[in-house]
Amino acid sequence: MLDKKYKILMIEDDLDQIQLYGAKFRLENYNFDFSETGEEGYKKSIEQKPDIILLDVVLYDSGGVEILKKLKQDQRTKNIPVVVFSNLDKRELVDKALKLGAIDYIIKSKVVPAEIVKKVAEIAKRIK
Amino acid sequence: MSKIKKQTEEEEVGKSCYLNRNCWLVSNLNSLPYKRCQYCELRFHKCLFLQYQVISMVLICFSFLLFYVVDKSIPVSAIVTIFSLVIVYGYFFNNSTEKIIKSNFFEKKTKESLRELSDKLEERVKEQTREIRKKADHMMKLLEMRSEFLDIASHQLRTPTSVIKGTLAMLRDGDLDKMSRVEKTKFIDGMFQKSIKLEEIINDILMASEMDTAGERVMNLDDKFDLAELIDKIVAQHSLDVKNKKLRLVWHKSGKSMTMRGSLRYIEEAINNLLDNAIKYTNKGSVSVVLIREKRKALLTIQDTGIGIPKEDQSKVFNKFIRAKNARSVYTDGSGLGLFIVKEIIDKHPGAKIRMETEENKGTKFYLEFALLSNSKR
Repeated sequence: MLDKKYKILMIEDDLDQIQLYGAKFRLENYNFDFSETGEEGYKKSIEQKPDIILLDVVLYDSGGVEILKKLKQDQRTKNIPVVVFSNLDKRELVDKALKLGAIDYIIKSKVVPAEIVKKVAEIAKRIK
Repeated sequence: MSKIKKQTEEEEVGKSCYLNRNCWLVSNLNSLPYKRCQYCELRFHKCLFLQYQVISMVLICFSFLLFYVVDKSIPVSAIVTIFSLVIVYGYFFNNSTEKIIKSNFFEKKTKESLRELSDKLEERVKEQTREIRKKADHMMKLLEMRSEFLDIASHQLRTPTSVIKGTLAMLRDGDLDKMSRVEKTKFIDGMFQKSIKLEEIINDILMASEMDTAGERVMNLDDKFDLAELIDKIVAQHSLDVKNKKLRLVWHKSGKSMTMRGSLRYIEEAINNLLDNAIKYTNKGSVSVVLIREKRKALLTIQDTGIGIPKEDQSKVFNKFIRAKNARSVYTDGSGLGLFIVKEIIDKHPGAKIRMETEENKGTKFYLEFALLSNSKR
């Protein structure tokens, strides 16, 4: 169990996935919020200062990579750890995301919700 | 025709009827004074034989003058000697000039054809290099397309899979027991919906790859069926979706029956895809399907008052894995293959056509045309 309630922001355009991961994070006592578009996610990151951001790559309004770039270039958000959480398994994309400052790149279909929660907990411990 | 041919031969040096128009003498005579003139392109004053004749004349005059100055008379023996010398010398000179001119001509001709050959060779090498490069580019493009196909196809398949897998994992771990009944039902239903989407995507990918590799070979184009009856069935299948979305569905057909030949299964798939899209991407208003007969053609329109297709996406939506920008916000799990499949099916039916009119936020209208069988009147 974590001693502090961590705030997770998921930037994801598929509501079924938001429901799934949201439920798991809430059950594990995380503060969970989400944005359905990249721009809204960027705004929320500035306003709410989440502890960790879970970012999808294939987004409706703009690519997740663009949002990652914006988050890492902005002084207000550049220190928030971003985990890219996508189903797009492409070597160049993984390298690009990590180079741009993502802390990890996780393929959704390869992990179950409990595993992503565990991963986030590890990251949370590291940044504490 | 023969006049033109003669003209070109006249222009070609080395041919027996060639007339060197550069030469004043040839031009005036309009025929060859000597056989060797057919190999000559020089002007008259540069003619070697002419120069010989002029010099001979000068020498003869000079010799006679010399005789006259020294002896005060020109002896017959001198005249005979000088003329025989000129004639004998002229004969040999004539022969040797002919040889020189001929050999010059053939040398020039050989050089020309060699140059032409090397030019042609170079051109051919260049052409082949261009062709090879073009083929290599095409291969690269195909490889890129293949890798993109795999990337997108795997992404589209993984998305529903990850939700199904995640929900099942939570069910296994007892997480769902901690939820309210309503939440639990929502969860299970979400998983069920994703499994349907997964099936749809698998079907679309299989069908699209069938279109790519086998095309009409897998379609049995010999089915004979009534288009109006087929659309009756498709419309009936969608009535529940329309009701759920509170849309108005208009289905209008002209009275006569319309028999056509083609693949029943694939035509059903194409019309089904279009109607499915019309309902999926319309949140308010109506979807109308109209079928009319025009002579030996059936004209089908499927129109909706939905989100339409943005201008920048209009030319691409019939391509594989292309989804209009606004489509993603309405329906996130599309395969991006529906319209590609529709277009492929229609294109593979002789006489069938498809056209689209669309405006963002106003709606989309598809015009389809099918060739009907002439004995369709009952």
